[in-house]
Amino acid sequence: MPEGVLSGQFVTTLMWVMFVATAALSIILGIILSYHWVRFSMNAFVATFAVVIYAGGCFLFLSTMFAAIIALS
Amino acid sequence: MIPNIKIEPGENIVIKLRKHWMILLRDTAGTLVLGLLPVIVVPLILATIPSMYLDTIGYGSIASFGSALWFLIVWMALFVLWTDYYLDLWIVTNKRIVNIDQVGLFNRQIATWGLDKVQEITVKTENIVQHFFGYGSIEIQTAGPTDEYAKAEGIPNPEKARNAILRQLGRTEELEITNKKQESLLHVITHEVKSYLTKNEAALATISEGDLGAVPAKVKNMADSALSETRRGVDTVTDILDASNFKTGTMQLEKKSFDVRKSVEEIASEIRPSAEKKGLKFEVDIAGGSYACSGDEAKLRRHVFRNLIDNAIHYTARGTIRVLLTHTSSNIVFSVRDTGVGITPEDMKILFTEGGKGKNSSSVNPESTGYGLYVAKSIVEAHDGKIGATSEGYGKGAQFFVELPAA
Repeated sequence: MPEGVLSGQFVTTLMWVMFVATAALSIILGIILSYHWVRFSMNAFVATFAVVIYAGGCFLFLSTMFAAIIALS
Repeated sequence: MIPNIKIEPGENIVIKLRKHWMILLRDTAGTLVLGLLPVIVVPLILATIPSMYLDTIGYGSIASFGSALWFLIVWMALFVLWTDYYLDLWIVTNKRIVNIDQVGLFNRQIATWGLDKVQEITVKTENIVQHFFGYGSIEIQTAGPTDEYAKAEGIPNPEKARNAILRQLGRTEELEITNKKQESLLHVITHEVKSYLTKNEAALATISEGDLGAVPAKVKNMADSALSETRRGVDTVTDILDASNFKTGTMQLEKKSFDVRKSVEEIASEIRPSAEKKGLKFEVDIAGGSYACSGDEAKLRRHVFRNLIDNAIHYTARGTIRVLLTHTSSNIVFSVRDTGVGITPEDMKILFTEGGKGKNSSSVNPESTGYGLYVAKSIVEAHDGKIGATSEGYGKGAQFFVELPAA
């Protein structure tokens, strides 16, 4: 490895930490937002649709992050 | 259905307004620009790092990870902003204006203004963007104990919204005039009906009480029955008429000093037979002392003392009716306790309202008009007194109490 470059192990560990933290944040925020949509929205379809879209987007991005870590490992 | 907002009976939603989509675009523009950052930044970073290093550290995976992380954060931020936008709502009903303002995730403010308090509505379209996309703000000046100022920004087609509110205000005024006319008509009708019934009552009483000499038993029975029904009719019409008088502020009270003890004792002795006929135990408990009170004796006797005892008998199938009279240094306290059907918490809320009848009232007491307790409350309050009720719930009896200032 060239001098001054971070070790692969460190980078992988850092990515795992960031992945777990982001996943936790997206789940907690998802619960809070879903509560608001279901509780306060006047349209049940919009509330359900928002939950699906939010969850789908989070799943897509988290999967990409996960795949990148696995590829790096 | 509107979450957190209770639509009253007879209340209809006229318009529901959500902010213009341009407001959402304005609020999310910064986040959307930031979201595109990896598309510009990642190629720039990669261009500055020598290719020999890139191969070593697995640049593809790191760039992919970093971009996904960035997009995820932007994704979450967009949903927070959209939620903030989507849950803001402005609702106009035929009675009021409701402004629901979602501020962040944990602050939800709901303000309402009665349409009858609206004084002025101003519409503002302030810049070229608002003109082009057809949105603006509505400001409403209301009159109340403290003047309030309602403002909604980013309302699509604010002129249309303003016209809808103005149309509604016109309807509210029309409705008020119609209500007043109906109230006046009701007053005239009940007054006339009462006059006829009172004359009938007097005529029937003459026959029933033998003033015209002896009459056959069949005729006397018929006259007794008709007299009883006519008196009930007079009572009902008097209740409605008095309620109407209180509402229009034309009720007149003839206040003079009288002895509450004497009134209660007389009423109790008049009513006792009907309670005992129903198989109820009837107790009267009057503590010693003076019960001098300044007030309209006739109205207090009829609408308050008699009405409360009558109600207790009507709503009690078995058990005891207990009439209590006590006093403190400044008040006379009259109360009636029964072992009857009791009052549910829901019924308790409408107990003393105009026409307010309990859920099971019609089945237990079909003659109830719903005006008796409203009139009783109005009369007691006109004497600077208090009236109230307590009950542990349905089937557990009730207690009504009245406090009147001692003379």
